[in-house]
Amino acid sequence: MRRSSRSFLSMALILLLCVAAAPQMGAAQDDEIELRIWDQFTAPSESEIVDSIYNAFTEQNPNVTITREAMDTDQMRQTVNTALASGTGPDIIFYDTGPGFAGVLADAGLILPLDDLAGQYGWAERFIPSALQGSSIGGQLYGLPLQVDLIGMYYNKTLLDQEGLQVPTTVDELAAFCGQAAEKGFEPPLAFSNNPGWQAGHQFSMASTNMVGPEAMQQLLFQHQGSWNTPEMVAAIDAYFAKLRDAGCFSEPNALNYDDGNSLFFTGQSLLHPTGSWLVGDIQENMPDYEVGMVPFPTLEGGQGSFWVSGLGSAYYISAQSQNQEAAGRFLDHLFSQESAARWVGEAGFAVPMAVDTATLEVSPLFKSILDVLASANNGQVQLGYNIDVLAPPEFNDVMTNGFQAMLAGDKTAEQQAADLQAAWEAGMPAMTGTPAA
Amino acid sequence: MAEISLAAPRRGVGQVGRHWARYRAGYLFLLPAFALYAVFMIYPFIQSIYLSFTDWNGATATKNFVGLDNFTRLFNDSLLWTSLRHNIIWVVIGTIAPMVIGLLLAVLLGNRPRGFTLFRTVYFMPQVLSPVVIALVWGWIYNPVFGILNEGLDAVGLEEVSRGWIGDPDFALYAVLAAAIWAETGFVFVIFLAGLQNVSRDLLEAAMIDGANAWQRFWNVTVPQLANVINVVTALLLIGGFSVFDIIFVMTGGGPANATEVIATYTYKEAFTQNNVGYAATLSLVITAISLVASIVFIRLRERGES
Repeated sequence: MRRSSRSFLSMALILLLCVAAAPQMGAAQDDEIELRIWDQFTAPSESEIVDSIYNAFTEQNPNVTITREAMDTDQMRQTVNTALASGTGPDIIFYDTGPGFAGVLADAGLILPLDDLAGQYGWAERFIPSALQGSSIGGQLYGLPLQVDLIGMYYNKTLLDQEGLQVPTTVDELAAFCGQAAEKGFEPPLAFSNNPGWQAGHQFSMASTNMVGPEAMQQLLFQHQGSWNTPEMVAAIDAYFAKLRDAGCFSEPNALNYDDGNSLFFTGQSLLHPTGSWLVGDIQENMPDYEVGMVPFPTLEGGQGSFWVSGLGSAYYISAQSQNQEAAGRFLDHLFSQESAARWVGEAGFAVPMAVDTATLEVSPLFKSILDVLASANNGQVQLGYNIDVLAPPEFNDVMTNGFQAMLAGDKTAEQQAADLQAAWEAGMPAMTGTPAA
Repeated sequence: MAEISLAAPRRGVGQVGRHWARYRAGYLFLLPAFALYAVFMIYPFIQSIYLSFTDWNGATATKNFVGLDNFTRLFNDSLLWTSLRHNIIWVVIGTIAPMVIGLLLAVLLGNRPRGFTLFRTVYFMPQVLSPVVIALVWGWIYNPVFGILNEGLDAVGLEEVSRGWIGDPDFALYAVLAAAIWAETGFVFVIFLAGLQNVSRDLLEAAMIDGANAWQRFWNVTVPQLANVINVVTALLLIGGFSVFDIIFVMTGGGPANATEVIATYTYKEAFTQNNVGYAATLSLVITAISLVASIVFIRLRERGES
């Protein structure tokens, strides 16, 4: 009797709560909502597409208005922590993944774990699993990544054919290629720039992956098993930052900024450009008269092969203090709907980490080749390496920046750099378990 | 003692009241400026002192009190001393060079020669440009592939001297400093030009009649009369030298290999790249203390020299 009356009371309470909640749920859909979004699409061409994709959401949800602010990474870094912590920040941010960026916000409880929303909207089935792994922190999903980047080496096929040169497949061939290209007046042969220094991290990601292989890199980066200070790593560092430097492949990269390096490739002065797939749009726009291809970085002597390196770009996160988390969740779902994904790929040229039917999209052969590699990776046919800087602690990235600049200037050896990298890794990853120090 | 008591008589309540009644309007006029100063200068300064005793990473709600840890870290931080050395080089060369060049240009134009307005505009123009623009323009000048400096050196047969100026750790600091000197000289020049208008013509003529040559007239008559102007310009350049940030950040980001790192760029990196806001606050106090001490010492020395 007592039990049945308790059950009755429970049922009545649930009913009451449902009745009480019903008008509120309706109100949540109908009330005027302002979603404040901070993103990093400052380039006018990108910004226009982003506006259009955001506006498609407000057209479907007339009660929602979007207030968008675009700023670059440096600006966002200076303000996002304080803005989110004070509760005056945006509802949604498009911010860099990795321990030094979103990881700090997650640790401070400033961004919302998305596991519940992922279950509600079926995001796990929609995205490539490794991409969601990359935007998870401590086993919880925090962000939805917009772009997977491939890092490899662009080559100017038109000029290579014209000059009778072949795309090098080994670092030895690359060193010889640099001599031949320089003789033909293509200086520097590689459009590698390293001011302010983040670019070297991508080169190291390629060289280290090709030397030890993607599996060993995964063990090192995610399981913390292995070391940066091994003879193989020293050889990988030496091959790129000393051997290619001495072969005349670069021209004062520490003094060249990224845009200047790109210009060297766009204008045909440099024949090769070791960088990421985010440059595809600019290449298409600036090199209409050239046919450009992209290959993984050449193999190293004693290495495991030639692998593409992949990394996540920025991801969308929801502020833990947002008053509009339900609408923010719907907005994220809209951003990664099939319709929006097709627009991100077709119009913005972003390789969205989810299955997108590209058959009906008009994409350039270069971008198509990149999408094919990513699709093959998703099917397990191609093994990808890892872009290190988005997975490493800030201390490690600092040593990559300054240490490789010192090597390029001839002031540091590969052995010293490998030892410094390992020391920085141990300092920045105090929880690691598999390193020799632990 | 009697003089002291006369100079600073004890004020009673009535005197304070009379003082307030008399100057109330004045204080009210000062209030808006003081409020701005309090909100944007005094409060952040006090917050910086507070943060320097914490290990705050800029995001967490809690700020753990770490006592003097950040201050003891200063002494073992080799990058701080490297940055400080770069600041000192910057302050010494970045103060002397614009002063000498600016004064020389001001003296050359002091008698308003033909083309005075044109030269004055040209010399002052860099000062109206933002440091970011200056950094970009000089970045192109120094570009190792298509920069005009290397092109010029190659054209006159000095290929050996050509290099990646801001990419070479041995030259980068001086290359960026040269751009900053170019920008600062215009400001110094205009101040000195104004100062020269107040130099007594009578004294210069008297010195000439007494047989003083041009250098003696400049050094013994003109320069002493510019003492106050020199004081102001030197103090501004000193403070600016210790807090320099923007031109370095845009041109090199403190690199290559920390070769252009100064305390302000190091502070920025600690706060926003390394997420060590507590330690960055401590570094910012170091800049404040050094600027303050340098300015006070300099002004005291000048005052002693004048007396």
